[in-house]
Amino acid sequence: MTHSITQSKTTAKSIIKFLLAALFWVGVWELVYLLVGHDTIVASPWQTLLRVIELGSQGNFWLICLKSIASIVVGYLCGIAAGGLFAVLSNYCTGAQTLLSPLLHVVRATPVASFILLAYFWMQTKNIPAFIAFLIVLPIIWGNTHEGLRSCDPQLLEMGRVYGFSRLKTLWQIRLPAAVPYFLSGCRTALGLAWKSGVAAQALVRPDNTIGNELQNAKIALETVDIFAWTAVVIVLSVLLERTVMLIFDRVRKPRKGASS
Amino acid sequence: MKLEHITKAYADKVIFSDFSLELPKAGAVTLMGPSGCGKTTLLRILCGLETPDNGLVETENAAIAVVFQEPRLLPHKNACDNLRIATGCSEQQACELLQDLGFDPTDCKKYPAELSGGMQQRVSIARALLFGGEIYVLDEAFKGVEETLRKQLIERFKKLSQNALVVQVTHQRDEAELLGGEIITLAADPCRVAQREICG
Repeated sequence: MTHSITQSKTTAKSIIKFLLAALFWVGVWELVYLLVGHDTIVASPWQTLLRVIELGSQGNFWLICLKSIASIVVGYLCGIAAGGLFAVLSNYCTGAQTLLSPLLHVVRATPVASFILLAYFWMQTKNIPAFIAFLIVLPIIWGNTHEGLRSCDPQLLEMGRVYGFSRLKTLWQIRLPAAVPYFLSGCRTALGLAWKSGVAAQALVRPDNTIGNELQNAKIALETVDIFAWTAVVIVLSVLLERTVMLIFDRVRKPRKGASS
Repeated sequence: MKLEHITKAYADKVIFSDFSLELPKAGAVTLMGPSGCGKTTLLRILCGLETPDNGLVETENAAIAVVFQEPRLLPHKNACDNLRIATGCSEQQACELLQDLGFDPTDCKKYPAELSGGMQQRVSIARALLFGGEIYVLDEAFKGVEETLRKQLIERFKKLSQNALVVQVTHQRDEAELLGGEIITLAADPCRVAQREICG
């Protein structure tokens, strides 16, 4: 009981601290707006908030948000699946590791903009954000999961050998559980990057009814307030998406009590 | 079980040089000796976890159940599931044996991190008992196990040694005497048999 009261006090304190810090930066933003004194260059926090509310009251707004989220989440999930699969393959088969390793390095080193522009020639514009999210997520999940699979407890591997675990059983019972924290950490990192690069792809290739397209429209029309408002929407959606994914991961991890042998 | 002319070195340290040892098909053997003389390495070679640089190891493909110095339990599985996964036994068999080894029914469902070191080691011993096999390898297996239970467990392995080979490494003379059979004292640099005696 005492413990839970102390914990909720700590949580309340950290929320207050966060809100105060956020308020400080909104103040800085307002100050910059007043100093610049030009709506085309900087929109004020108040103007941005009003515009977000206005956008929210339009039916199209929710369709744009949903469509943007859906395409990026599809790419994100495909990236997770492929990254996990490649990690397992490269962990178990030296040939696969040798074959896939250069691909991993190329994907990691290539600028997102190059992929976006290339994808423009390869596929329909509506599929590009998902493809870009996929390419961003793939090497992160692959690298992290591979590292997790490699770093599993050698003593447990010996136990598995002695007790005649098959390769599949070793993978399922020893290697994969050890890789879970690495995998989840990769998923978390990849989510933010997938979201940002997905929106960037939308802004460049402009598929209909997407946030990136709206940002580009606002830029062309010199509607700075709209750019700020859509950026605010991107940030809020990013936080919500991250929270939702973390909640799902926490549920997944919950039965895995005990972290060490 | 036979080891013939084994050589094993780690970097510059020679552990075994032309070492040979023959062990019976059934019976109890305790390996004793100073720390670092190669007792654990010898057990690891017997289990196939280490390969000698030279020489021959003959185990006739016997099934080997090992109790390591550390419990080596799957951290994400409860005590019962650890036994089920490693040995393929039923949940009932696992729980019954654990209760035999002093577990409460609720403890059977606890995860390794929720168990004391001694309890974890008991799960590890139960795993070897349920796995069965022709050879039991016990590497300081009873460390952290409470005195009365330790004696009961050694008695259990002594009974098993009538039909199987039980090889244990220990620093405790009383554990060796309780298990009975042969006590082999090893000397270091490089590892060699210093003394063989029959006890009990």
